[in-house]
Amino acid sequence: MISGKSFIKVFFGSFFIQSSWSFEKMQGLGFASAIAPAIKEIYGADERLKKGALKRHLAFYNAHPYMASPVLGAAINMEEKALRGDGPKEASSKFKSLVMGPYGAIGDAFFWGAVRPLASIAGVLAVVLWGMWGPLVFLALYNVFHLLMRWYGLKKGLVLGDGVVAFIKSLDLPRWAVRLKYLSAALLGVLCAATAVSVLPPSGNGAAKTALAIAASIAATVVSGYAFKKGATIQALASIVLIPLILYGIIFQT
Amino acid sequence: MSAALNGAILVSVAGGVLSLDRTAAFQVMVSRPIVTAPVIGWLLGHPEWGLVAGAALELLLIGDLPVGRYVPVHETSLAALVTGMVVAALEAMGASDGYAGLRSEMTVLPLAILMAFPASRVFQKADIITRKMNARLFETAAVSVEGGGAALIRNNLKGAAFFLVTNTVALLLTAVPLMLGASYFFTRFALRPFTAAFAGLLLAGAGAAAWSVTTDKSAYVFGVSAAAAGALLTWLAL
Repeated sequence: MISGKSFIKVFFGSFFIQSSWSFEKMQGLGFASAIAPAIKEIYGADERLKKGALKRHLAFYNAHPYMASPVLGAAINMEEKALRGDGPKEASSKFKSLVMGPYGAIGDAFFWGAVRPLASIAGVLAVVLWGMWGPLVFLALYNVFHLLMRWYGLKKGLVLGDGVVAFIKSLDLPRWAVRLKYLSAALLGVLCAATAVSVLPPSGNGAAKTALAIAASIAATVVSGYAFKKGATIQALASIVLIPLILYGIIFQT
Repeated sequence: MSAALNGAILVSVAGGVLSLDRTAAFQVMVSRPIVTAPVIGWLLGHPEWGLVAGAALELLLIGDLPVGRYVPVHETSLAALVTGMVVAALEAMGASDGYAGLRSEMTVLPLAILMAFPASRVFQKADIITRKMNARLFETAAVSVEGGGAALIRNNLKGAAFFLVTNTVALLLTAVPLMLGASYFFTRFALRPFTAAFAGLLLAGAGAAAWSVTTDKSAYVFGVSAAAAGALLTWLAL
């Protein structure tokens, strides 16, 4: 097992796994760079083995950046086993190419597709309710998931080797992604209502106007959401919504 | 004039540094509009204006995901640029500081976003150029691997430096004309007319957010939650 110092270096290096992202090799150089401190410790003074290992890891690699941590840990575990003669030295390269596709898909769906929208909607809701606390709510909520995967993913990979696949499977991230999306949808509903109430507060005479504003915001959200689903781009939808309103304002309201 | 120019340089450098978080380093999401925009606003002396711009852009860009080889809209540079334009315009218009200037921001922000969207193509282009340049780093690293792990780490970090330089230059190229233009352009319009456009912007953003969290039953969850929260908040306010 590598030392705590090398673990921290690899952990820190994993934050730079996309620094040299390219269309051809994607995170290949980043992965080799992140694993380099562990390779240095494992092979020590044996320059031939050390360079051989670095060359093995300097190859095409692409997965979700956070999901690289369990792969890094498992690859280090396999390099240690190869040195002890418990496995072939190509095992880590084969493992990387086997898991990078599925881990890319799982990570994209969970972190980009579920955690980030949840943190964004919670952050914007916090902006509406508490102003400047909004960005902090966003960062705190998002990075709980992010840093846990970076830290424990690397740790579990180091201990379990290729058994980390079973560990990741046990987390059931696709199912959690769906649950988080439901939570996001609920928070988005609260956000729409809170924004409508804050823009058009109910007066003493009744709440008809506010109720109308809430209903209109629900309807408009569903309609524009449907437009995105049908392939409308952000630029196109923003332009379609904004340009007529701006023109109306310039022509009729000045 | 010189204040807007200094502001544009500040926006470019700070935006370039924050953009590193987007792909090249950390990815703790300080590069998202909800963080970038208030930071840029704070650097320019108006964090609240940046906060509102950031919240609107965060919703609008929520579903634009970096999946596979797709390079999404450069949300960090766009947020930095829009915040820079909003601050330059509101200062030129003599808007009240802090949240008191929010009504003025409602008039400026939608148009600033529309003006900045075409510039986001420059940011995307810069991103693609950087990723092509990085391919050479891999080749260099493959040759220098004999030098050990330190050579790999050096070459990898050079990629982050490329991202920093191209993002900063792309922002500088767009922020200087657009921020100077915004301070001139917006003083020619009355404040009131664009408030409806701000509401439209928020609703388009809410739609983008709804689309990004779509599952088979999420529309029902959204509707029920909005109705229940609306009833509760209205009852509390009455």
